[in-house]
Amino acid sequence: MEKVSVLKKQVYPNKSTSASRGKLLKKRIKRGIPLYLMMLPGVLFFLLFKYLPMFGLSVAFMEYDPFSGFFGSEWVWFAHFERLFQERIFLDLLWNTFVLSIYDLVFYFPAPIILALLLNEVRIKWFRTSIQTILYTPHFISWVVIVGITAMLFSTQSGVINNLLHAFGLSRIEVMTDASFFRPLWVIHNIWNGMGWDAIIYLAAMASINPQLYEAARIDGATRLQLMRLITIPSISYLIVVMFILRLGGFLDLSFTHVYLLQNPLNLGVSDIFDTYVYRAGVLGGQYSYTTAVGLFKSVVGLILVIGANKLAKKMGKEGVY
Amino acid sequence: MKSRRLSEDKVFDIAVYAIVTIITLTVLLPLIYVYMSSLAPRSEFITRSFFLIPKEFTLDAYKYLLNSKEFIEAFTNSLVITVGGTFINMLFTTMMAYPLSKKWLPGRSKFNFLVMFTMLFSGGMIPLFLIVGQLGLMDSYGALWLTSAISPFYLIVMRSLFSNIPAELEEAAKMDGCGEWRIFFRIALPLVKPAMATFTIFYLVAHWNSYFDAILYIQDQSKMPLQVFLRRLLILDEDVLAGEVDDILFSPAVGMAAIVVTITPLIIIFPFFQKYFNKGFLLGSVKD
Amino acid sequence: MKRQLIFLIFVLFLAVGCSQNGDTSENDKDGNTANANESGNSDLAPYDFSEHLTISFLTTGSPIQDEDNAIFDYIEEKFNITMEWEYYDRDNFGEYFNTLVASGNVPDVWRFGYNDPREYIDWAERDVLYDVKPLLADYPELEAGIPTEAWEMLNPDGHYYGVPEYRLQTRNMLAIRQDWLDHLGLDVPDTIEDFYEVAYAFAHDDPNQTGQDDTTGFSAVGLFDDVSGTAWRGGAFGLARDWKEIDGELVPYQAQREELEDYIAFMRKAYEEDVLDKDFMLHSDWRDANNLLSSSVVGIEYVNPNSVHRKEAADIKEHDPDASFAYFAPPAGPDGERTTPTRPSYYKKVINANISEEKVRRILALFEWNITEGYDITRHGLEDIHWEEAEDGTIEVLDKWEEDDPGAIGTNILRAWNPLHRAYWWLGEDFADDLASYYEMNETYFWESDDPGLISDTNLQTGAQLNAEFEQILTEVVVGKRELSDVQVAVDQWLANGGEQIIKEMNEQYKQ
Repeated sequence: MEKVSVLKKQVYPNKSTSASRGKLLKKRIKRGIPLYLMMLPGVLFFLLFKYLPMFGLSVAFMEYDPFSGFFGSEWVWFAHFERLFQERIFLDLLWNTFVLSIYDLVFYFPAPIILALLLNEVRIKWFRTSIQTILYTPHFISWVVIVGITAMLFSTQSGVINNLLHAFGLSRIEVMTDASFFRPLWVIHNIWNGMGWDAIIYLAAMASINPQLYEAARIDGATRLQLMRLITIPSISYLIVVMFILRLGGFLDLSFTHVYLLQNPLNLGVSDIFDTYVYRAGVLGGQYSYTTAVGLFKSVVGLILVIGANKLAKKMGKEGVY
Repeated sequence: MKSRRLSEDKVFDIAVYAIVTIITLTVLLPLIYVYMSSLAPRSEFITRSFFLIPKEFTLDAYKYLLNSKEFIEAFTNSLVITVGGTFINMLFTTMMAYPLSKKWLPGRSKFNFLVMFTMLFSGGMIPLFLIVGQLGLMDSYGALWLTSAISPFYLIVMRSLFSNIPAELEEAAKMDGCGEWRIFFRIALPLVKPAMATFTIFYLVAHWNSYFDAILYIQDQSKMPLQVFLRRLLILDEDVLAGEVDDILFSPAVGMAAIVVTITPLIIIFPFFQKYFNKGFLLGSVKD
Repeated sequence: MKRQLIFLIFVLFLAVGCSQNGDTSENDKDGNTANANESGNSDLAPYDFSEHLTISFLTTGSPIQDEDNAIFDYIEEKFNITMEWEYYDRDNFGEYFNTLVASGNVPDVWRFGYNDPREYIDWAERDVLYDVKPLLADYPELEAGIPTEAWEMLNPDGHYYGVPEYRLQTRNMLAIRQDWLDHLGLDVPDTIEDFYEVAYAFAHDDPNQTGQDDTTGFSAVGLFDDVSGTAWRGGAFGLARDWKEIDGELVPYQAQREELEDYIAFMRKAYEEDVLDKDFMLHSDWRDANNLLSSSVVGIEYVNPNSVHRKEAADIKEHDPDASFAYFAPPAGPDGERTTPTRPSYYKKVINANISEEKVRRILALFEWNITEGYDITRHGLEDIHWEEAEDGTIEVLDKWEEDDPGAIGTNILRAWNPLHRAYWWLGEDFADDLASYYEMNETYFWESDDPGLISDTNLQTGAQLNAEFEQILTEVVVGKRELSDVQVAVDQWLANGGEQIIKEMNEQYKQ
């Protein structure tokens, strides 16, 4: 009996009449009913707490005023977007935000993958356990403290490093104020803060690789480096693709707090991004709408990138995000 | 031939350990600073006479934090919020991630897109606040748990990890007459222990660290979590005399002690989860 | 893709449909503003506390223990009320409050001040705030206990939309290391030139006698910090706090090219000669600069007279047991001008316009009590519970004071109108006298903007950004990345990118 049904399944795809396709779809839907039911709580969550509140996006198109509410505020349609695109320094802001996002993709994105690959090769158990714990901790330390510790080490007048340099008669390095240090410092902070944390996801994926693959390759005489290259990396490539596409979704969306804390008059030329700019622009009710409009602009850019990257991934035979 | 491979492996090993050690040290030093300075007396901050290890140790900063009755209350609240919230998170997220990992499921791609879409677009705080009010969830932990029941990011990643479960396993279970729910709870979930452990800890940390939700949805001060309590202690009102409790003057050590109090429980529980994502889980489960 | 979009639109449509039922805050508002405005002449007795009321009060700071708090119990019993205290995080106040407003959860009373003063004017115009003026006749001691200027601050003619709260406008004063001066044989500086000489010696002549190059002259909070930055430095050179009336025209400091050049040249020289803290542009808060005084890196900085005796003056003794401070007047500029950091004083307690007049009366009675007979209770607490009188007549503070924290109640919640509200009995009369004399000195060098609270739309939209770019160029001049002549570039850019428009808008209103 069962064997017959397996055979039938293999036969179906070869028939290309629409009638049988519809039949197949119906059958699949029927088979999927328990799964749809399983998804129900999640779907309700998304409708109620994610999609229903999206009417809040309408404030980007109005002069939102909390006292008049969503229905009493005046509609200004694209006025906030016009204002954004006509800002005197719009292109500077776009460039600064873009460059930081690229730094993030080029330098930050691979860091947790590399770290996970390295950790995966550490065989001494206690060593692995303890370093993993250490590496995961910085994630809990806020930007205020991270920037504070950086200043304590590197500030020009009273930083520990600069005091040492000064004591040896060397000249001080202006890490916190020299504009050329800003981007590297920013991305190093990100790596320091998030690398160990994000590596966990990759480690979980590596833990799911079938050990028999390694055993077989080992018998064929592969070195450890080859195992990493030929088995580990291809086995987690699906996850790398998913993570990369998701990261693109947040393109242009950088941590305001982090950039704001590192910002000072001397690096303003490279550190002024959309979020810090909006923070300074306008104070009264209008700000709420304008902030939402700028956020919406960034989201649309993210959406375009995600859709593009997803298409590309599928063309390359990968799974993609949706 | 074999010996060349072994020596190559040795070089590889040395390189791995060396790099990992260097990375760990760069992370460790600032952490040591945080821990050590939480024990430094105020005078050493003023005279800046220590860099990494204070000359004298004092528990003043911890006394400053822990001496109020509300600390225990806030700590307990945080535990309740975190445990309850993480349970809901894992239940909701796995129950949605599993079906979405089935490639044959009609409509899957659309659902996936809708999930991804919410990562990019959000209606902001005010509409959510209104909805929570309408649902009568104000001033209850239900508001904290339900509004963050699923993280779309974690859902998508979890779904990707789920899609690694070999289809043969399920087919075999199907043939044994298992329904989808049983396959999910009995076969699928135990198979993805690494993913489960990973996201349990991710969600747990998110609940433990969150404070703005509580400020927003919780009015009863006795229900506030630890993070809100600590934050309020650390806000220095410029008109309050340097924030003084029991003659202990506020010092930078208090800020550091607050970090230590927050992260130490997370460091302690980490190894319990860690063992799951360090082990190959499929070992022995796929029989040829 | 297309189907996904259609589905999406459907969901959004659903969302908008549902929310229409959900939003009720608007009705509340219209329904209630009417009775708020007509409430002036009713015949409710001012001190009739017979009906029990619940009052919600939103404030900031650390929550104060409210169970078994003798002070709160006393107040609740006396006024027959139940108080619901809510506390907000000052960092997120705007966001938080907007949410309360949008959902119709505005508290009965809240403290205004940590947000933009223009918001107050806006709220008053929309009838969000209760106009207490018509009721004040029934609470004469409340009205008389607070100066009329304070009542009128920010308010349109004939209306008082809030009860003023005491904020010392000129609180901080300059402290200088007396021991360093003694080591170097120098006097407390009087003019800005003396000041530079002293600061130069502090930076280069080893004032702490350690044999090391570990000190510098002075620090700053950026170049133009609102509260402390330009005060004595820029002000001495004739720069405006914000706007200065010159020949009937309002001129902003950004356009005072000559004065700017003097000020920037002074800072540039100080930076070049290692007299100015090299990290001055990193400081965003007065405390950042103040910490350098505690850690004995600089010898001159502002201190808070309320707490200097226990903080900085105690801190420097950790470095050198003989260390002490002298307090001095802001140094005089070339034209003899002296200015001190001056903060705005528009802080108020405001009342929700939608609550009943009875509630408002109860709140006003409470506020009146707070500045009269209750004044000592919300500072020192109750006799024999929080303090006791010893046989020799001195007052001793008891443990319960710490626990019930009347000090915080009087500072964070029911702030009375008195500059010396933190000079507690047990700190001694000398302390109160010293404090009073410091404040008196500071008031002499009051430094305020000449604009009477005018609003320029351009300034609102682009002002902060223009200032950031302005400060960027001038900071580059100070640290030597640009020539001194580039002060002109900073001024020109500020004017061209919107400054001229701001000046125009301000002066048009000013002339009216």
